[in-house]
Amino acid sequence: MIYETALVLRTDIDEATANSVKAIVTDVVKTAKGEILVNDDWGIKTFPQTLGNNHKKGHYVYFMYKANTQINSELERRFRINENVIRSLIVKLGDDKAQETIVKEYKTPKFNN
Amino acid sequence: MTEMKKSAPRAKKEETEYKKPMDRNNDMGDNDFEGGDGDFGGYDVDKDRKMFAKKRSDWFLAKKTSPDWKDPSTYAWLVNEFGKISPARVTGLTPKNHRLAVAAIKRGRAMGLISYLSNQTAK
Repeated sequence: MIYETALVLRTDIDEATANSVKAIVTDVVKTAKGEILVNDDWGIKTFPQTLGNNHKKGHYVYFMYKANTQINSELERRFRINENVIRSLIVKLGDDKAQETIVKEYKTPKFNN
Repeated sequence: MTEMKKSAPRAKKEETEYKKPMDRNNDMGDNDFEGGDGDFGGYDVDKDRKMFAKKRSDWFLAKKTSPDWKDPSTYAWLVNEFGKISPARVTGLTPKNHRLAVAAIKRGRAMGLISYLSNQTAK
């Protein structure tokens, strides 16, 4: 199965710590013999309303990968523990057969308004 | 309104003068409801349905896209200024696209891409 995750990270952290959070996804997926298809960074966005502990901005990170339910439960567990992750979301996209079309259709979203 | 049961085609009756529902209520005492099913005292319901039925024009079908939680511009127009999702009978979406749009809006809200209380999106 192909899944996508998006993470909202705190903006008041270093690049190194942000990279360490990104490494959670890549490490967990690779150790369980999954495959990362898309690794994207949407940049820093301002929220329409404050989130969590009065956060006004967030750093959005996006991944698309081939995995199973065990990997996803492990990822969710680690996202919850990590303090730098404000929000996280895992969505199922489809079967392995539709991999090419799903990866082709992906575009980094625009936030122009 | 548009998804009402399709009644069996019945023979055309003699054309009667169209009356507004309020006027009809005033005349109710005069009419004996003997016309059978669907006859409300010379008031043709099917004619009314055709008059007020809107043509479906699905925004997503026209643009050949589908609602995606990652892109707020696809679903922000479905939310009003108080953060309420407008019903399909107002927006004219197909039932399938409306379901997908509602799911996308709720995911977008959870990820902080669109507000719960207004139609503002992330910038």
